[in-house]
Amino acid sequence: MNQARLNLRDVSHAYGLKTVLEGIDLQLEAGRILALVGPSGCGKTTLLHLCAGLLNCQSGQLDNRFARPAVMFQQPRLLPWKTTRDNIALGLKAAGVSRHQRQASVERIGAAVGLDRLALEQFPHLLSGGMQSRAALARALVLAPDLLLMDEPFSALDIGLKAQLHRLLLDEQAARSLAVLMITHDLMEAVRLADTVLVMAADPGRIVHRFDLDIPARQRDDALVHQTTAELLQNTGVRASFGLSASAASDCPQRPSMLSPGMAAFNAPANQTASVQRQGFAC
Amino acid sequence: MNLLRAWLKGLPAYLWSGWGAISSLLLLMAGWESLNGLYGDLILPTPGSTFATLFQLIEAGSAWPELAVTARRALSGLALAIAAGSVLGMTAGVSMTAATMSRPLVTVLLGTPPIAWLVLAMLWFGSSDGTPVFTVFIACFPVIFMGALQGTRTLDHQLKDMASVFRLPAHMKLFDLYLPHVFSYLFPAWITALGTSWKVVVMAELLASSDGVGAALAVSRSHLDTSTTLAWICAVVSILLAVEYLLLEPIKREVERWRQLG
Repeated sequence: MNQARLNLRDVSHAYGLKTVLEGIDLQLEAGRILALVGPSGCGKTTLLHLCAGLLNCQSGQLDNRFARPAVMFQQPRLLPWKTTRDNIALGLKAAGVSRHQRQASVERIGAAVGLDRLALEQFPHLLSGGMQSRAALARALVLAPDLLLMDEPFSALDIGLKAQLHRLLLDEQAARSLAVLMITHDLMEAVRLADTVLVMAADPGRIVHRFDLDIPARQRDDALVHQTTAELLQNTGVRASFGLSASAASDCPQRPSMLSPGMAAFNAPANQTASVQRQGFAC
Repeated sequence: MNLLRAWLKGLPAYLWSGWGAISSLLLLMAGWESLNGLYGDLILPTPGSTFATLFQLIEAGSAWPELAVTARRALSGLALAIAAGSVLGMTAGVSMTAATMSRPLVTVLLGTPPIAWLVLAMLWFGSSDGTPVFTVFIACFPVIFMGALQGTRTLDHQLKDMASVFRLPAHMKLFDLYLPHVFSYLFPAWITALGTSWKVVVMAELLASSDGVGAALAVSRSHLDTSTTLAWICAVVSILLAVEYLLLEPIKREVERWRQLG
């Protein structure tokens, strides 16, 4: 229906002489959640900054046709001299929305993410880490974005809070067919939320695996998520990219898998492709 | 205006907290009194006679006009320095090149003694108001410039990235991003510059003007009138203390409220 999509073709990036990203291909369409998982230092954040326009694309093609992208960073990055309310309204103010409308939007999104009036009136450093993350999520969602870029947004939160914000994100995502590009080093989080998981390896950062998850995120229960994560963790390529020893657990559960290996060994260098394809999926 | 209301509301509690400061000032007076016992009236008159002289000067009507002239010169020079220093310092802070290039120039300005500028100013401006105003300006400018430069350079780049991702327009970047952060560097620089401006203006007047507190000090010195000299010094210092602690400090507290909470 619309052409909103994010398309990266053969994107590479280097800081000085050090290549951090090489030959990245990915496509993200409206309403899809794409998770990038990989070890620390594999260029995930650089890739997200490229998509957000914070870095210029050095080589390859980057085509972002989304009209209203928003970013949620790894740290909340709230302005310490503004109340939580004004922080959430920042993007709206920049877009020239009137004060009255801003207040109404902030109240609504604040209620949705679980920030009460008292929390909205406080300065960010008085809020707990979880509250700050909610405020950062609210600041992104209040703009009604069509693309949400997230950089390990929930990594500092406890599991209860994480689950709460996951649900919130999935609700918002389904309600407005939001496209999400999410970076995480938490494989389980990726499996819980994403339609597609791309596994990256470091030195230089590249995409080595792609997994499509068939069951919609909102219908996945804990058991399924745990099982799928365990399956992923037994994949040799995934283990290699995280620097885990190759001896994966041998006895695989016999439950039906929700993974459909879209393109195993997606975009991997030739030598690695061979080894991964030989191993295939352990289960 | 909100700031004014907050200033008035906070004033009584703030003044009450000033008892500690007052008691330390009274200790200073006690020390002064005891030195008078040691050296006699010609070298160091008592605080009592000094303040009596000051009240005589005020009664005779000669104190306020001189202080007004001095304040006008100090504040004009300071206002110019605050305007130019803040704007140029922040501009230089935005660009790495400008920051690198301006830093040695400012060090040169900081290192040049105010008395040297005064001599140059006397050659350029003669005995007009220009001499003290220029000297004050040139003594205060580098301090404020450096404050603004440091403040702008130390803004967290993560917040800058956030601002560009949320597409903040230029005026919002200035008022919502840069100024609140730079202010905590700029304000101490303004206070330092205020102190400098009073010191320098009195020195400039002493050597170059026929009116103002500095000129009055020159007269009292030539009469070997120590108590009048001290009376003028007390007047200048009191005004400086009043401006800093009754005006600037409460404003700073209000603007930086976000920092003090929690």
